[in-house]
Amino acid sequence: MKAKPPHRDTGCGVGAGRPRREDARHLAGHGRFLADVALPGTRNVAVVRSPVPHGALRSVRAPDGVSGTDVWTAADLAPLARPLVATAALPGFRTAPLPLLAVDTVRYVGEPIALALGDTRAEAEDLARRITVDIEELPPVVGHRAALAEGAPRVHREWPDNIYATTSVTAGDVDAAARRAAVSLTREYTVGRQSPLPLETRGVLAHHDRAEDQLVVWTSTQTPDLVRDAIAELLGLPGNRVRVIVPDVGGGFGAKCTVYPEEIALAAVATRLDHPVRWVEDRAEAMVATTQGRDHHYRLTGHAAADGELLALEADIVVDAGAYSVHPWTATMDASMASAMIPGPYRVRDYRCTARSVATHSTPLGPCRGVARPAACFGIERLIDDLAHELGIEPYVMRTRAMVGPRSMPYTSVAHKVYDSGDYPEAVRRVSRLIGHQEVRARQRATDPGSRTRIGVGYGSFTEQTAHGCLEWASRGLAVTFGVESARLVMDATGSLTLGVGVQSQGQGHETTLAQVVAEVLDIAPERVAVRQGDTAYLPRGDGTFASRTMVMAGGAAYGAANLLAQRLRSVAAVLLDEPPDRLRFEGGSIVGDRGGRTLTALAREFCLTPDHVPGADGGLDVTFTYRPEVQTGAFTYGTHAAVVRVDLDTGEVELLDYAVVEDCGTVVNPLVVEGQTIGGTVQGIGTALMEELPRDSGGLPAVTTLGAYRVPRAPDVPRIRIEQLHTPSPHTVLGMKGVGESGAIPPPAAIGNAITDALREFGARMDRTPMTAARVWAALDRAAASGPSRAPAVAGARTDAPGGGAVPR
Amino acid sequence: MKPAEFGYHRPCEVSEAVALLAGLGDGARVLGGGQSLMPELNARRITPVHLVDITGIGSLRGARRVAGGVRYGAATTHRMVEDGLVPDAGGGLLARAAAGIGHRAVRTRGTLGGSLAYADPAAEWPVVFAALDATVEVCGARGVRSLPARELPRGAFRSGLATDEIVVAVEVRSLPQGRWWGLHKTAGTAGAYASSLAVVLFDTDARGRLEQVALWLGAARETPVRLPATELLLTGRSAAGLDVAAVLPGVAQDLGTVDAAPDDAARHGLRVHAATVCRALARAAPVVSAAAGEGAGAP
Repeated sequence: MKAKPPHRDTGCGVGAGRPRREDARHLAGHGRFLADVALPGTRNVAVVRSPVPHGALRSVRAPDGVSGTDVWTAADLAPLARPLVATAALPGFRTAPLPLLAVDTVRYVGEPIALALGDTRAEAEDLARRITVDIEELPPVVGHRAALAEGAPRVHREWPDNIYATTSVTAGDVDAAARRAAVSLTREYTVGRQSPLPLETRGVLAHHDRAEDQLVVWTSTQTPDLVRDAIAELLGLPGNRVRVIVPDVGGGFGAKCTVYPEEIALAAVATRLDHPVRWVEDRAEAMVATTQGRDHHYRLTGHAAADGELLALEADIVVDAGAYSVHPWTATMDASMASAMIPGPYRVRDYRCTARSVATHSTPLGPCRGVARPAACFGIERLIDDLAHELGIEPYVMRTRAMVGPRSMPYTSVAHKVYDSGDYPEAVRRVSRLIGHQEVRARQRATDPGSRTRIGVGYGSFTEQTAHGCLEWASRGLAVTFGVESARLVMDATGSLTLGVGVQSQGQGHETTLAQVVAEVLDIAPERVAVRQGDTAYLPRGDGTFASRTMVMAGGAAYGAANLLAQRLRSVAAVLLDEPPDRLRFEGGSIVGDRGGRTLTALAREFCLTPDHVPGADGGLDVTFTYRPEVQTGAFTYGTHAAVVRVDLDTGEVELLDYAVVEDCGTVVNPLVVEGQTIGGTVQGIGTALMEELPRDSGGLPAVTTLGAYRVPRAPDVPRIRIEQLHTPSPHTVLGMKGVGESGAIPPPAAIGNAITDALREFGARMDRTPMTAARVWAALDRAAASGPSRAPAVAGARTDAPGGGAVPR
Repeated sequence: MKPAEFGYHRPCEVSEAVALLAGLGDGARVLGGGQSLMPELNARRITPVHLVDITGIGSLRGARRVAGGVRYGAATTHRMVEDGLVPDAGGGLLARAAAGIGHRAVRTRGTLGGSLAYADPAAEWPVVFAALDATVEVCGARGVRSLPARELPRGAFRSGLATDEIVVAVEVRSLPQGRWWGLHKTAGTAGAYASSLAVVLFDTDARGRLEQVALWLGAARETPVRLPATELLLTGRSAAGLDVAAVLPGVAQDLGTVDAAPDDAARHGLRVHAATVCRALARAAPVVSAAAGEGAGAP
């Protein structure tokens, strides 16, 4: 199917900023989330979890007198289900099968050991506390350095070390490029571990429906079919006897697109019970047992020419992937994506990179909005600023000089990514005006040197592969390669439409936006289209909602289905109106020819109830279209964020004074929804930058397990985020859309880190790890002061007498 | 995260509550607004055998004016103070303090007495009432006694209440016209517990210099601390010229923190406290007489 622009602006199709239809039910409290689902006779499950990061599990004993089906251990599950094995086809990848319940070793705090059943959750917890778990504690591997240390304990005993996999990239001639460089800098950057933190925690309700001979599993997931396939495979059931139902999902952010042990374990237990079982994760569990994100550690070297051209990059990447490899992403996704994205939007041809994923005694790492990109962006963008500073060039100007230009599109990056379209430098120029760059510089120059605060401005640029096809996933070595999405569109006898899809909203507004795509084709009000998700038995197969793929993939499928249905409607109308189908067009809810027309409502009624009136019409009003992008390298959303901060020199506190975004996600289906995604992502990125962190103590115990202790941005912590859009349709997608679900979360750590570093240039303090808490900012200032006065500022810090100013554009 | 089984009692009179507590002994806990206790119960960090819920005791809710001050019932909520539904003996200080506690939902349920009895080192009321030298009235099986609010907290999450005692009321002498108050809370994010909380009271002379300074700090030690060296340092100076560097030596002396210590966290913490003191001073306001907010209820 060829891309084609919106054919008319009807105010309700593609491009219409309509409020989300989902909001009405959520605002009224009519939504239904997993914990709202009530099946008669349900018993509740509490999970006994490891309290230690590493130990030999000697025994698990149920208390005396407890029914044999009230406590479940690994031994009880063994005959029912196999463990989750997430392996990658990368050379040298070591598998780390993820037990459903721990067998003989526990490897992270929160690892499931046993299930306890009770009529209520409280009673299940009572029983859980009476289960005797005998663990012999063993020394844990805490942090990536310890994992790589000589003689470190091994997380998986059969391995020779703690490395899941090492991958390398070598392109061009880095050494030759380095010899041409005017400046070369080596820096270390760290992006800390955080929680994806969906407000609705995970949960599973499993029930063996004997009337249907079907195992029905309700779960809060981003990927219904993936969970169904895993349950069927691990339990040895045909797929048509496993039905996964997903109710409303209250946030995912990557935390709910991994198949979890609890999903398989509850499904297995349900096959042996005559009542449903339910487990709803509580917050204390969510902070240790739901996959976590980031934990990237880089050593980067950049080589730049005097005019700001980025000549070459070297990267040594270590990712702490935690104790196990998760299905289907494996333990190497973050590291391999980081190695591909460190070159960012820049025109660099010489690149050398080594990426290692290491195992530690911590919660498994999984996708977290943006996956590796927020960290890769923090690394490359902080390095660009430091290089620009050395060269005496305004950092935003260096970006425009080093970036891939619009005339080079499509551009194949040094890491073999195909940047499809857009004007990267224009986003930088636009956002520098939006943030008022020159005014900030003027305010900096006017700052009283005796003041105990400083302001700074910083930028973060990114390009993000969205909606990539199977080849991309195959290149990462995954056992499951995503890239096909189906949609089924049915018009009933009343003329209303139902669109069934296999993607799964977690709050993104699919019911609104996918209906708009159908409305665009048929020229009807989108309210006529009900969008159904989350039932593997009755909806077309889909991969789910992650990787900023839904609007491109499911939107493409919906567009295809709507066009198929349009053909059928033309065929019916051609008979009824006695006009050739190619003379018929859709207008305001009717199908119209040269001599007359029919409303779609009348047509549907006539066709469905009295098909004998329509002899020879081609097929029914029930179509399914499967979309598979012709070009599988994805559509690249890109943009630049700019932040203005005020830093308190006494306390290191950072206040965000202003924040601006210029972004291009191609054709926008619904501007309100896109703005909501961008703001939400940006706020999450602000959390990464300044607040969110899951530290461990020296013994490997999680130090933060409550929302009281886990700092996350609240509305008063965030300034108004000002957004401008560029619109360069992707040449590779239906209607030119690009994904937008993750992009907002990518650049904030970079933009804010650069802004703080800019504010503190005169003191020589640099921000090299997230979150940039007050204590860390103050410590960086304190260390800089202790190491003596810094060299005079070249650009920022912004004294009018700044030397090296010859190259500084003002 | 569901609590273990417990017995639940909801008396209507103070005497009934006290008798219950005396009879139930160590296994009982008093439930006020529940904003701190309930999460602890749910996480099973505490597993009391009985809860005595005192929010059903009407006489504990609300405040009334008394000679020279205001008497606040223990079950008066933070929200009632924030919204001016009860008189503000601090001339605006109490309302400011209340508005900074947690979130609106927390303030709607949480109570003054509960906060005092819970003795969280980072909580607002223990510091504020210490600075105001309020008097706490408690009732137990042996009768009623009064003690200075400054003496109620005995350690982190440890109060001087006996197991059969509940806080009945807090009595606060009204700040006189002409006195100034300042409060600043430094917290990592909106609604979070304080990493530092400073309350300052002072008079000014004709040239705007500080006199009669009372300065208290929360979240610094296990209980609220007075900062006498800093008070002395501030006396006779004008609030406008004070910065962290000027205040730091006093705060360091009061807290016994050596600024040259190798411990980054302690040195950073000291600066946060000094900055919090400066901000409390910079935002200080004169006492406003509370004509509004005549007592709701009468303990």
